[in-house]
Amino acid sequence: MKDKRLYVVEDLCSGCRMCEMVCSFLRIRAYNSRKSKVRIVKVEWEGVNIPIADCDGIDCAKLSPLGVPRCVEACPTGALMFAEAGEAAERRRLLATQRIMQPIFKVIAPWKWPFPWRPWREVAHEEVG
Amino acid sequence: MGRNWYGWKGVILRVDLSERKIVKQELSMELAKNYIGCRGINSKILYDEVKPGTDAFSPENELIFGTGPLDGTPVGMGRVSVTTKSTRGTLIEGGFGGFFGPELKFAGYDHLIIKGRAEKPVYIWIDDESVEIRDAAHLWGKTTWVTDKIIKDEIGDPSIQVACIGPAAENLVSSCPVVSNLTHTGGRGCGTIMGAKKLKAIAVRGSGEVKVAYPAEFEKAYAKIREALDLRGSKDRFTVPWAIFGPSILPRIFNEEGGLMSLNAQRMAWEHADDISGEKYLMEYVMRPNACFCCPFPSCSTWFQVKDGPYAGTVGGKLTAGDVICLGSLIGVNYLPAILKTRSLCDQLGLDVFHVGFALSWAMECFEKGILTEKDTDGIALQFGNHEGVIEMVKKIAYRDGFGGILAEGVEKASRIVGKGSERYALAVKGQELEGMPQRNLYVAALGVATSEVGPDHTRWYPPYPPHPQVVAREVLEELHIDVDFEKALNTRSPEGKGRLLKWLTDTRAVFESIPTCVFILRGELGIDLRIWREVLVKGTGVDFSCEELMKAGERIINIERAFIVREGFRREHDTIPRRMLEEPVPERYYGPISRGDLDRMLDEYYEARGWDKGTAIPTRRKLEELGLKEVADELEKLKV
Repeated sequence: MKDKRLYVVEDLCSGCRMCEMVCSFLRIRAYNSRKSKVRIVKVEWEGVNIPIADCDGIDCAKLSPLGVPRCVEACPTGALMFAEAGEAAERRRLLATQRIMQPIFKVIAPWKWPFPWRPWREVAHEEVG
Repeated sequence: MGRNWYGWKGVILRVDLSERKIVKQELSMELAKNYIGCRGINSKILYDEVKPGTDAFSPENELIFGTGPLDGTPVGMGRVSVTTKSTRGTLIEGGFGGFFGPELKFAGYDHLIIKGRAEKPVYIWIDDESVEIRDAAHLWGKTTWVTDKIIKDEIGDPSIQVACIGPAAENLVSSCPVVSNLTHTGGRGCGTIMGAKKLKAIAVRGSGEVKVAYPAEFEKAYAKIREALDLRGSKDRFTVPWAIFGPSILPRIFNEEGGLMSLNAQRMAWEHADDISGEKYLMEYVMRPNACFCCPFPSCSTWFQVKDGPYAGTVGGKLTAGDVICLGSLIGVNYLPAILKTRSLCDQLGLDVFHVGFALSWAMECFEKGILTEKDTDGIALQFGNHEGVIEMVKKIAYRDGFGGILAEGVEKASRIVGKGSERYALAVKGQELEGMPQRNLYVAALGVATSEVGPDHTRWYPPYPPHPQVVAREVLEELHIDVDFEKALNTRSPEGKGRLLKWLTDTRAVFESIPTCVFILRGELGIDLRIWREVLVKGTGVDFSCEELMKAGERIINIERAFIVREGFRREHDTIPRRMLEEPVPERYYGPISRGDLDRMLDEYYEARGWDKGTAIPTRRKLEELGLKEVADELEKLKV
């Protein structure tokens, strides 16, 4: 857990802003994207969503029984991940190769499949990966 | 304002464009309890404030945007409801997802009521408390995508949300939707009214928060919804294909079941269904995931790009089942890039795809039968499958150029203008074009289309197939007093039990759209078990609704909407389906039309379940008083005399 931190894969971000909502809810017990440490920049005419994390996720991960930050748990596509640097690089490679073989990985991460939107309980992310 | 609101923000914003007056008003708790929010409160406000006989284009007509108590929380999925009186005389209610609704909520407003008519084009800029009416002369005539970008540049903030109309709505083309986030469209006909009010766009920035009454419990209740959407245990055969491929997979499933409308619904099966369906779309054209606010389905509104061929460079998003059917099989186009191009064009010009699809398919059938010739259609050969001609015609409709001007009136009016027996091929109900849902093999859809207060609108009873009785726990049915015989209702091609099923479907969907949430995620138990939704609503708002009260609220919403159209003169004879569905069989799938007798039986059962008068489809005094709508009953009685 010590060397793990929050990584983003922009290509996978669906721009749903779920991370903003859970982060702000964790911090102020209300929904307000201004109070979130993760923000999604949507450049709509380019069709691009860019997640920006002003946070390494370490403190937040300590609070969770799963050992991952709240936003990573809630992200439905796997665009946010909590991993060590080597693991993060490995996952990006996995995504690139899997995408060629299976078009479903254009919209969802291999490490989320086939349980894409299991909520924050029961399934630990390590198990899925 | 005065009260401490949870869920709701408790503020209604009123903008009068004629007098350039802006008023903020407190939401009444009574209204919120009786109509929940979003669609419900919108309909109630419209009923109260738009008097019978008001001309849709007059300044007295109101355009109402509604967010609900749980919009801005993950439950809301970004839904926003737009309500107004349409040019056809009915009320029109439609919703779209995206991010506009939550932003309006964060800015601190539950409802936005627009009245009057501006002299020159304007747009409304809402920045939390400050509300401005700004000049939009430089935006007039621009496409929705360009408008979106100019406004964002002008304000200097790319994260604001804009809902706008395109050139089609400015030219008062019938049934134009409001467009938000480039590809999210909703409210067929609301854009036209916006155009009549000379309101080009509404831009919002909100920095406030949405509070919930019991945060910890609310989060737990929300987790239940996410669990129900899990792919592994899904009790619904559509969940997995929808999750992987998005809604554009449905045409292929429809085709297998004999419900894919093709060639103006002359046929209900099509050999090219695989060419236009979701697998091909995902494999070749999808670029990246895209979703509405807090929606866990990443493939529902994916961003697409066409890389080669005659339509290279086309970009857009959110290919729905309706797009593939109306812009594909219905008009005989089996070339997916052409469908993507048309869809993208419709978004940019602010056109309704259902209107475009059914108007063109009607014109094409007339062309095939020799009622229309190239002389009538400005030299464009409108044969089934001619996608170059389709794209040319879409532009003509938006700018009311030549024959496009006739199609722009909507298919029913257009067929009356052309005459020569072409009325027969116009597929519309209450003046509005049908949608992608088949009727002849799905009787509940036929009944839903017939009885809908706004004209064909599948979101009012979606999904139309009930969950299998074996997967629904008995105690759920008993505890919720669901008065539906699922054994009978599951038989899609029999009139038995459909009336009661539709009553239950429309009541519950009225509740879901008022919470609001997206009806397209109501898979498996989510579509049936109201207790899950009651839980989030109660923990979110702090108001202790019971399941019975919610069902009552849903019924009240339907009744107030029905009362609105009754005031405008709509009766039982308007609750019907196109002649084609009543007379023509489907030989390639070996089933017949819905006979008039069957339709009447379903209608009788529906009105009886609703407690409405069977002869006229007017809500009875008894029913209205039971729902606490005594004033409505009085008003209807006065009008009948």
